[in-house]
Amino acid sequence: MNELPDWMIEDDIYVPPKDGGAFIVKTLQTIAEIMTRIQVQHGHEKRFALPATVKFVALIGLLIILSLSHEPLPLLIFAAFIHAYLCTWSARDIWLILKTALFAAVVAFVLLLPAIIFSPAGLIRCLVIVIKVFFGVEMVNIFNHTTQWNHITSALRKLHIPAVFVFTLDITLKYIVLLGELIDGLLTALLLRSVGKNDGKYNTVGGVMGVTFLRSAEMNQQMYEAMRCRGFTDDY
Amino acid sequence: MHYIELSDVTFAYAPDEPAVFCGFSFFAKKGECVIVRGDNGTGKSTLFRLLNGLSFPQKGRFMFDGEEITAAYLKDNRNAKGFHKRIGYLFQNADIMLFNGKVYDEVAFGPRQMGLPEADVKQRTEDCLALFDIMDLSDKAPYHLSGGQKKKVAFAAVLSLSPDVVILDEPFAGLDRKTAAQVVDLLYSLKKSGKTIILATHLDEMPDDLYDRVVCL
Repeated sequence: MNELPDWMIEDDIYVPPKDGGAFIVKTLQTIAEIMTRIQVQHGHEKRFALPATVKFVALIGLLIILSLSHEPLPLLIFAAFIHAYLCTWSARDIWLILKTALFAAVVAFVLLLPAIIFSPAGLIRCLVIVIKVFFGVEMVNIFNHTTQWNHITSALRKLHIPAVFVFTLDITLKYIVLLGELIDGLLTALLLRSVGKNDGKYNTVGGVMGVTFLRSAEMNQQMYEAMRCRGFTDDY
Repeated sequence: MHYIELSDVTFAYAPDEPAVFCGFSFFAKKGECVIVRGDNGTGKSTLFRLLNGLSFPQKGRFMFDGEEITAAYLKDNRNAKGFHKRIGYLFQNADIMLFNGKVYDEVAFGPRQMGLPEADVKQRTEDCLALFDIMDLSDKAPYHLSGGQKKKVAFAAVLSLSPDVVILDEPFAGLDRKTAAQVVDLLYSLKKSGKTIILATHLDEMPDDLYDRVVCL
């Protein structure tokens, strides 16, 4: 090992320059947080102990009924049942379910706003659509919250969904969290070494995204090979 | 007051999770080499996150060179950059520290940000590459290097910032015997130059006269 160079030994008086553009790092951090959150299910598997296959079929059935109903009354009955069930949950979990559903309903309302403005007579129908969107998303959220990913993929397989589709879904779900962690690690390293003005911000972001892509391809291959070594024969 | 000091720190990753540290204290004097030991899950990585300002204690305080390091303090961009310049951190998994297209750019990333003239950046980068005998990797993509080479590149990238404190998480993991001996030599040089070194490693990998204290978690 060589001797330390002089600049490393001397006292380094460094005043960091001003630099904007932290939005890139913040945006990527948000992406990483979301990706990690997707996989981390706190779940209520025990609370609603029906098999995932039954729940999945029931969900599809309820979504079809919801889509076909045109009157507000059945929707209100529907709402009563769903919310009576939700009332047994903790406030935090209820908010998790309602937050996304409310967001989807607001988006649907905004999209339908021109129709409401130009044709006030159709107000009720538009509101019914908004309510349907709300309940639809709410039911999917409840299903997602009460069923683990591996049980969902298992249910899909029992329902004879093609193996390639189930395999792809399963691998994607498993690796979302790992990719989230990878991006988190890369961004942490970037943050720790961001000590001044970065003139090549977009190169850096490109590098982070590139490494993430390469690593994801590598991890995918490694896991596939590990599964083959343990007897996996491409049949899910 | 010590150069680096965590006093009576309580830390948990989430309110509903058990605390990793409860009333924990740690210090390092300037120029000291401190080894942190502990079984898996005892909080070595968490300690390093606290020392790097990546996490903050819920109770207690973290002082660095007379300044209390808090989330509010590091929210100021200049404070954060100045702090991160002074503390270099080598991750246990050096793989995720590398995000540039070439080894040269990886090592030059820090000096370029410091606004140094390109000649100085070149000098620093080449010096750091020479420290680890990896001049020949200069044009290669870090992604395609071996584990040991990646660790050397990551370490070179940390040292190119000339930090006052070097925190190393398992620096010998994945290194062959010859490279590990080179790293030990480098640690001697860093200590001699007055750098503060905090590292998590096994004692049998470190000569007795290199470290000053051992902290067991």
